[in-house]
Amino acid sequence: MDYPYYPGCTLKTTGKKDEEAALEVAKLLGFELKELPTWTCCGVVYNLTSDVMADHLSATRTLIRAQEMGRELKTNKLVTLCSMCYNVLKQVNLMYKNNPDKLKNINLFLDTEEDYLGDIEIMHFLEVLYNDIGPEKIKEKVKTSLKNLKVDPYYGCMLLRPKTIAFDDQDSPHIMGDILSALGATVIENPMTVECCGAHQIITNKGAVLDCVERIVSISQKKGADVIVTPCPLCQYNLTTAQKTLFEKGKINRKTPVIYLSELMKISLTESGQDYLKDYNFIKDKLDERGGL
Amino acid sequence: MVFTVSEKGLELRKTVEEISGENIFKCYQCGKCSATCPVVDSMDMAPNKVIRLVQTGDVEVLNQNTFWVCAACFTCSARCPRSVDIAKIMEGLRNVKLRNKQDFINIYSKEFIEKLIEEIPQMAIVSAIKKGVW
Repeated sequence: MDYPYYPGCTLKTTGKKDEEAALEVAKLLGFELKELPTWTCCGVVYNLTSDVMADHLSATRTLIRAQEMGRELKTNKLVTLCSMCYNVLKQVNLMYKNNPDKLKNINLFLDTEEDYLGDIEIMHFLEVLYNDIGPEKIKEKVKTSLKNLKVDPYYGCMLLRPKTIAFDDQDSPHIMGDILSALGATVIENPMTVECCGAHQIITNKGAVLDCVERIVSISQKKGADVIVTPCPLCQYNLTTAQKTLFEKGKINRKTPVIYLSELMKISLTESGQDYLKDYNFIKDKLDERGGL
Repeated sequence: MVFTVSEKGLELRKTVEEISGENIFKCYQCGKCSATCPVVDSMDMAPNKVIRLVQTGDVEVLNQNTFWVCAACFTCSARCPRSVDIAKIMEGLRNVKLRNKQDFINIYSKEFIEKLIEEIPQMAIVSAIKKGVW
């Protein structure tokens, strides 16, 4: 089955590695992510006010694009790779489900577009992997087991909060851990896994991000993680850049690499996984110490 | 003890409740939001105290940086025992400032433009603008 896929802005720039790897992983697992032919920004953050509708326009346009493509592919699903896109699109969609009047208003306003009917189902790539494919099937496809790798799955906020949009347990999520176990990796339990990385405060209040990342990373390191894995491009950026500063300040004594889940999956699921490892020296070195993959 | 609330304070409370759609008096000041907030260390005033000031109609609340520092991570909303959506109240306070033309970020400032040159993901730039510019 093929899924309509919405990339969002960051997956085309700083999150490019995530997109490249995810598209390949999807093919290896027997489905395709088909990018919407035209798309705009999703709005990035869901407007929490009760009286501003204009902020929901960009997300609504994306939902309409998904509706158009869904007719071709005979599905009502829309897959995102970015956590924030997932959060916004799902919250806007839910808002329309609960307030048909608001949907009617927005459809009247968007009079050059077809009406949005309100039945698109937003899914994150992780959900597709876990619910539609399943860890068992992923396990069968593993070419290179990550048996000696200690991985810390980090979820961040946007996949699990608010509760109405969460697809896993809000306080102790397990989906990413289950997938990583299927790849053969040792999964570390980090109590900070659902804590915020500081998000957009990286622009206006970098100190807040440093505090958040220090807490997350120091526990991860105490537990011996070789690598932190995240599905979110902003978490990946914040965790990576803040660690540089923390390291320079002497607040942490080593830097833990932060990569996307899709990248690790690509290493594990492809015949040439070992070749990809060349780009990930930090993993290769760790594994060589322990006798290879 | 008798509380007197100023006209401006009453108006602020009403506006915040209207914008957020939350009943501010549901909060009974347990402090769970402040205990769980990941960025509370950078705030002038803890989130539960901010809510107290809105309850008592103290306009001083608008001079705190709390709602600008809020990263809208929804941790407080998820853990509040009274189901108060604190993230929405913070958005309400941000909007009171923004709708009075008191932006938090000056997008024309050198400081901000320099950020655009750094390799910061667009999603961070757009969310900062959406939270801090009218």
